[in-house]
Amino acid sequence: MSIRRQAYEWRNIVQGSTAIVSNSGHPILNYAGDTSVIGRAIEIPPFVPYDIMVGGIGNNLEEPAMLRAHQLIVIDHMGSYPASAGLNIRIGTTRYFQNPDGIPDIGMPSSAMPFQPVTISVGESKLGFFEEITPPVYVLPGQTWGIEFTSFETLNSGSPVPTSDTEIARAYVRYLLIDGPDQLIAMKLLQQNIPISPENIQWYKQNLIRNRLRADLGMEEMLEERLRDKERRLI
Amino acid sequence: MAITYQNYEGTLAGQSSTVAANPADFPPAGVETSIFVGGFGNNIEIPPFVNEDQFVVIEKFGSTAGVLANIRVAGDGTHRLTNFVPNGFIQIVINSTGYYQDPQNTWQHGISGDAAPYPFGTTDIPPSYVLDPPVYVLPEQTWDIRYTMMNNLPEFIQAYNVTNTPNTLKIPTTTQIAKCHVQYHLFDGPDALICHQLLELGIPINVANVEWYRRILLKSRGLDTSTWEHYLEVSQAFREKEKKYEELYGRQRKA
Repeated sequence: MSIRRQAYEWRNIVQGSTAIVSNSGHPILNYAGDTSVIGRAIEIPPFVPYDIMVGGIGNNLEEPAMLRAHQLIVIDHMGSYPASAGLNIRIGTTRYFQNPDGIPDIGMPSSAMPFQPVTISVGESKLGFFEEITPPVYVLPGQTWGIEFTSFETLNSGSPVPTSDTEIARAYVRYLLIDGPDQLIAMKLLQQNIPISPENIQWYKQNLIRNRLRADLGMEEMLEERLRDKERRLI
Repeated sequence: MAITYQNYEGTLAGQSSTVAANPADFPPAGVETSIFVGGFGNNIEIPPFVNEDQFVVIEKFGSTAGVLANIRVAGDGTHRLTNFVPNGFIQIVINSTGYYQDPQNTWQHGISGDAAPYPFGTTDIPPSYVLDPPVYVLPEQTWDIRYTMMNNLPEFIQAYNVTNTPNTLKIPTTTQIAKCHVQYHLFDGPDALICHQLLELGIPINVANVEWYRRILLKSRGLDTSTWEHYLEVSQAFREKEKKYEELYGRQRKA
């Protein structure tokens, strides 16, 4: 399992009436006898970027995303909701999406890369147009990374109890996690300016095996050549 | 039937429209449950295990979409639950290793029903999550699909019964709580051996590549029974010849 297709999903819903973050991942949602959820969709102020992993709202991780020495990731897809929000990729302290003047902005808007709730049943947003990031974004060993969610307007003002999925903001990122020997191959591809993809890693692996076989054959031929003039005797 | 496209659907439904629902009959929230042998819904008798002459490639899966439970109870006084969304996640487990890990490198619940929804329909949003590259399960490995519900149904049954005492909630068999589905290719017999060969050569294992390799093998008469007989005859003749040389020429090891 050295090339794995991973995904991370964030929502701004937490359980209870006081918490704003669930550091252990997606919260367990309890329901009252009257069928209402015992939880809140946390307010998100406008133009404030929140890291979907450690931003302090909704389901979070306990530590920021960081790649180990034997890992490399390729981010190739993401999406968000509602339409007034956007996502930006952060690697170290650098934001991927920026305005033409070079200043980072909210990133890729949800309208371009949506991640819709199923409760939206009709309309343009139902199209589910999932554009991929081309070329994909590489995060190298040792780098920290994050995905920042920013809204153009205030979402869930007053952190209300949500009554429908359409009231819950969300973000989603899909990436390839390459680790172990495949990560070494990925780094080789990077050095040679070849795109890192499962196909290219496989191709490189095939070439490695083929070259090894050729080298073995070559050694055998060389040995034969050297022994050609030697007097043969039966052992 | 050496390459077959298999699937398994796990369904968790209610049990009776007349008998009160027992919270213990439904999976606890936040706890991973096997869709094969987890003890809830339809199950099989033994956990999935890949025999030594088999090879499995998991290619697609999905589960019920939605976050909020969107609970509906029949308003006719029967206290029958007619809708409950599980807010579930799917994790693939091979032996004791979980396929999905979060960015802090710890075990996570996996892929939500919103990212990989099931059932599929013409009006559904295309899945955001695609299992590409697929997951290989090798011979002698066990594998599992674990489903985690984050909406707490057992807790809700108790809360409802407290609010509506002495009436109790019933969950009829027509109410489907959750659905999970997995599709995979099962290669067995000689095709499983070909899968191994492809794996060693670093070639992706899929139906097209296995068939391509099989064609090459057949072209080189690799799997023809008469070929084996031919090889056997040749090796026997060679042995006879060697024996004869040893006898006639006194060929033996030198001191």
